[in-house]
Amino acid sequence: MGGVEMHLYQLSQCLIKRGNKVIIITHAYGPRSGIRYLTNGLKVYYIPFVQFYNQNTFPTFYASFPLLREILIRERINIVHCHQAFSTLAHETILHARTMGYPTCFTDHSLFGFADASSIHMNKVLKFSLSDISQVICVSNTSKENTVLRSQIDPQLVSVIPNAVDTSVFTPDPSARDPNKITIVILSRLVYRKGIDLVIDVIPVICRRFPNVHFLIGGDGPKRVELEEMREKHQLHDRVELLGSIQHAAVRSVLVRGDIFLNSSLTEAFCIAIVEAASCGLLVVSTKVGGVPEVFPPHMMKYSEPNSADLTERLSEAVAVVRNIVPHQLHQEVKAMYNWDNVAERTEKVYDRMAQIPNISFFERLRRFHGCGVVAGKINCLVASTDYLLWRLLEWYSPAHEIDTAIDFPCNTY
Amino acid sequence: MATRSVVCNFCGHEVITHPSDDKGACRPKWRKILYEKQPYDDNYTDETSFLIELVQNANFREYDYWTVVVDSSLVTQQVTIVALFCIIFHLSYSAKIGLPFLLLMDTLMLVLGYTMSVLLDPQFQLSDLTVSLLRVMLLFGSVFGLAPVLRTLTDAFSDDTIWALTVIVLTAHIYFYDYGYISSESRATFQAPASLNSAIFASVLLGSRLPSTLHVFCLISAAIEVFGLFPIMSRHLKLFSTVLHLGLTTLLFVLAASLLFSISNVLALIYIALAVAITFVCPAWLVSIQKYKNEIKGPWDEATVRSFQEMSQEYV
Repeated sequence: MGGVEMHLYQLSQCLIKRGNKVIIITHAYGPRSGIRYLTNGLKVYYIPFVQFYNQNTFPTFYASFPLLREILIRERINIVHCHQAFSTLAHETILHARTMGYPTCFTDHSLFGFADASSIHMNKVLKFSLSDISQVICVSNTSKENTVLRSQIDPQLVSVIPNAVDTSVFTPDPSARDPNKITIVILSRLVYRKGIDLVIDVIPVICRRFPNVHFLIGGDGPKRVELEEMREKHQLHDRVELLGSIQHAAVRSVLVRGDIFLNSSLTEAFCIAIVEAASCGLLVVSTKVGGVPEVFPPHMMKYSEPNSADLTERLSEAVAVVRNIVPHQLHQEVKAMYNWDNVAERTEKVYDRMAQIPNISFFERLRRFHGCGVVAGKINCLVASTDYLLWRLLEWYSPAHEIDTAIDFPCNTY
Repeated sequence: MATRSVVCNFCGHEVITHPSDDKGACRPKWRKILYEKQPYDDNYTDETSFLIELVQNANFREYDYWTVVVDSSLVTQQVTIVALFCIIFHLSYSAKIGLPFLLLMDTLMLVLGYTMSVLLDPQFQLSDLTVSLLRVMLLFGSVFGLAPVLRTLTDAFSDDTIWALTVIVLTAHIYFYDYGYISSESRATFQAPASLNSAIFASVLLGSRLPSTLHVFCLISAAIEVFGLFPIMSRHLKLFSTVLHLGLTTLLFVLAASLLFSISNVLALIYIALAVAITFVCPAWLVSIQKYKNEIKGPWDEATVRSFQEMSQEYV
């Protein structure tokens, strides 16, 4: 499960505990299609839409409208909350939900640049979606600045609610560590964006400097070959262990084997991995990028500039002090800082704020869309107007009062 | 909305008192952190520090019109070279010049070009002369030997295909050309294989339309001299003196324009318009749209990885 899925699941569970009804709509994953119930009656709709790239549904603008409308009406939904700027389904849902008049909220989980072609397009799409949104949630202050710049919305609309970690699962276990070695754990996708090039530079130097240091690398990706080449070149087969792809359920068991956690990402909105590692009692060494400096106070983490030399120095410092760290103390501190109940409570405050915003007329919506740009504004208005007409058609063809309402899952009886 | 920063009498911390605070209560300054609960709403935007790390147009370079015009002469020169080559082809295709003249022209270009680059090269030594002579014999010897093959290579193509392909391929040559080579002092190797290959391919294409093997040999030799060897001389000239370089470009432009007028008026006018556009209009355009430049950098940018090797090279 990825970070966003974990966020969705945990947030939904905590909101259900607080007495809300939550459903999740996502696209079908292979044979996993239809409606399923997860823990505590969390209902998940796996809608059968075709995927086209990177687990994204094929963007058709309007084809998802009838089904989404049906789901929102039958479940008697009041608030729509969409996640992740990359998701085509999220953008389409924002458009349809706003056409139907639902208060809609958007959470942005990643940082984007401004210079390359894909960022320019994504930012324009985001600008369209966020022209007419009720509230936005970002996972860190840097992410808030980034989102406000990209979509040019009022910063007062954006709330900063960080991610959290399930500290009851990620508990330390000092007995799992090897007392004769200092183990450095790296758990990430092995791609350029996660700074694996830095790791490749740092490992040989650290292994030479400290004879009792071992590396444990979990995860898979295109850079795995280069890691193996580095290992081969410096003959570090007994000091560097490559575990391959790790299931999310097994992450904790890998983390507790380590003394230090190394995160070398080149960009990160909010790094859940380091919070999970700190919760398991590991000392964290990370590159100072994106929202990472906001996550922990300086005494819990060592920050380094994103270059090999500085990262090596910080890692050496960490190796020198790691034996003084008390894992349970780290765990307690993380427990006090981040938990999902707090996230759910703050999210509910955002929902309350949304409920107080009055409904806006269709022409006001068009005016907002029109402000997106000289050419883009006109296109946006066309798209929004067609959506509105489609909605009237659907209202005539399948009126809201004729749609059967679904029964709520009686989670109170369980 | 003025905020004043004072020291609180009770807790001793630096706090912000905001006139709109209803109780006039002092609360600690907002910090950009996530790990502590702060007495501010989640959507609070701190006016002093929001987007404070945003850097706009950090790499902005102020362009001076005449500098850009001088720099654009490289592109004009290359367009002129291509035009001159096409003129040479046309003159031999329409038999306006005979074979002896072609051979003489090729030899003169080679000797003249070589002498000039020798005179202008500060690092030339006499021993290089024998090496160069050997290379020349090898190169032109192989072209002479391969000329029959090269002539019939694209024989079966129709005329229209040849003209169309040549235009495309020569445009590719101009597009992919290594303009940085001519102005760089440090880099002495020409690094655009695609452009050189396109040019030689164009010469082979055109060569198939010529009547005899010797014609093909002359054309391909001319192509090698004009596309392969001329950049070397041009680079030495530019590094020696920019004024001379501009002078050469102008001379070539005048030559090409006058020769084109003898072939076709329309072509000549198109060529002159193109050269003027590249030299004067495009720099003006570039300078005028600089005001729209908006480069945004901030803490959200992906860090550029600098490996040990790159960093150690900086200290060398």
